Amino acid sequence: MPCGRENYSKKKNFIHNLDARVKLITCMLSIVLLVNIYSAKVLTVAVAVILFSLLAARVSLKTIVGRAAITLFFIGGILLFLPFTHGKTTWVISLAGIALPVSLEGLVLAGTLALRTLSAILLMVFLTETTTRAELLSAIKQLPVPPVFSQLIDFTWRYFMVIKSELQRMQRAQKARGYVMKAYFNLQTLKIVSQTIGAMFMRSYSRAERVHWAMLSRAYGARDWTYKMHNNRARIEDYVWGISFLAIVLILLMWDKGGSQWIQLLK
Amino acid sequence: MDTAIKVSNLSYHYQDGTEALRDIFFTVPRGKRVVLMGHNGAGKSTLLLHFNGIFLPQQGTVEVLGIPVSEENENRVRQLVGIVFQDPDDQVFSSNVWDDVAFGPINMGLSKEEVKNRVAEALQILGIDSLRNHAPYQLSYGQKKRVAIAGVLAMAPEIIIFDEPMAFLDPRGQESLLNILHNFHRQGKTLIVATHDVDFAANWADQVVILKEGTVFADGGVELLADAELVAEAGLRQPVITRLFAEVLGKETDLPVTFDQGKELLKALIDKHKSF
Ligand SMILES: Nc1ncnc2c1ncn2[C@@H]1O[C@H](COP(=O)(O)OP(=O)(O)OP(=O)(O)O)[C@@H](O)[C@H]1O
Ligand SMILES: [Mg+2]
Repeated sequence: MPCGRENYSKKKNFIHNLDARVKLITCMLSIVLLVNIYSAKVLTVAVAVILFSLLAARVSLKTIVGRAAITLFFIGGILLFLPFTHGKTTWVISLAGIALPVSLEGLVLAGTLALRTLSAILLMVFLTETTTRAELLSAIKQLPVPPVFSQLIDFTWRYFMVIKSELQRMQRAQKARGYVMKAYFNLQTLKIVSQTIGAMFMRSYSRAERVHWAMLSRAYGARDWTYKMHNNRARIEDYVWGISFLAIVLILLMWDKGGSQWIQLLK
Repeated sequence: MDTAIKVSNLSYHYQDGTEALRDIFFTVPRGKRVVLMGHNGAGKSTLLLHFNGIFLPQQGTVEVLGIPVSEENENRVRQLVGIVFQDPDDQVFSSNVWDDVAFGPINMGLSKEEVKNRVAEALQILGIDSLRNHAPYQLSYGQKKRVAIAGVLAMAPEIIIFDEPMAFLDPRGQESLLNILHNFHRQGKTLIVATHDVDFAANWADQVVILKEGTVFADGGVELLADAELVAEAGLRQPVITRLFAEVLGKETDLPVTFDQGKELLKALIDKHKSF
């Protein structure tokens, strides 16, 4: 999952400008609520609402499809099996002489699961595509989570970047000396890849050590981080947006839980 | 005279058995500009890490402003001694510049207001105020170096140590680093710079400590660098000015070391020539 944009390439708009903490909490709460929706109809409306928000934030359709596809790919396997393994057999289709029992129940379940996953993924895309990584990280740090947690996120990110750049540098040096990977699976490739991985770990280790020394040098560990530095207030429009968005999700949830009867009652 | 750092009989072995430092003795007076020189692997970086207790003496002692560097004192010592590491990527780790510069002051337990003031001042002195919200990977090498220095400066250490500060900086970056060092010196800070740059050393330092294979090979004023035999044995070379006059005058003693000494000598030679 991408952790926020590098920076804003296009002009910022209202949604980009929203307070990152409000956005983070709203998206997280929405996901928790959305996974409790069972009706395919309601889920379709939810997906439509999120898609609309994404397009309103000027996230390109290409980005949305690309990001969603990668993640859906991983759960695709489970979804594909469901119609054949879950519930009572409704039809039997024969493929190349093999009889496959298909269940309507399984098919519906797979569809609902797919929609539910899609809505959660789209919300994550919404969050990460309209917030920079720096904003997102500092939003997490400002929430009432233990400092260890936010430091962990910082360090994970930091060391991920360290390892990535070590690997890039090594690959560049290998290319500069004329190395081209000819095939994925042969002895030479295997040898070079394993040596690269080994060297990468050693280099990352010694760099991590130096990073740690540099932190100790700046009195790291002398004290607990007892307070948070940034406390800029969220604005009214941030709250209005967050509450409205959650309200829509809540209405969808109520609709799913038979709330349509309440709406009837109100009439 | 006050002593900033006093090292006596210091030895250090790495875990793999490498003997990095052996029986090191030297003293740095307060407010001085000191360069630490020596061939690759001479032990400079290892020695620097002893000055704030990242490495503790395995044998001998290190004293910082009269405080022995030990496990009990390490937090105190780290607030007195700031280290700017050779590679800013080792040092700058936060998600944005402001947070990174605030890292040290927050660890020191300063008040919120004080942290803000210190960070603002450090960003301003290093001329990187406009970068405060940038992420480290969006910065050039020279800018990251400044962020690293700001992060140390914000802790207001009495002694500042630089490991190879000039490496990879472009000429203008080196020029502005010299200005920064100059300002620190005027504020009375003790500065220790590990470097291979003899010309920088000759023109800047009050004291030159040369390491060779883990021991102090020579310790004195910049005139040490004019000694052809000594610098050759230490794996260094003479400053350009010295080499120039050595070749032109065809002699090996009483040679100028600094740019200014060279200038004066040249002027005197020209005047003498004119009066004939
Ligand atoms: N982590 C380590 N483990 C084992 N030996 C080390 C380690 N780091 C340094 N050494 C060894 O200790 C000795 C001193 O190294 P040090 O890095 O202090 O030298 P230096 O003077 O800073 O060199 P350079 O000019 O290359 O930066 C060298 O022989 C080096 O190989
Ligand atoms: Mg070194």
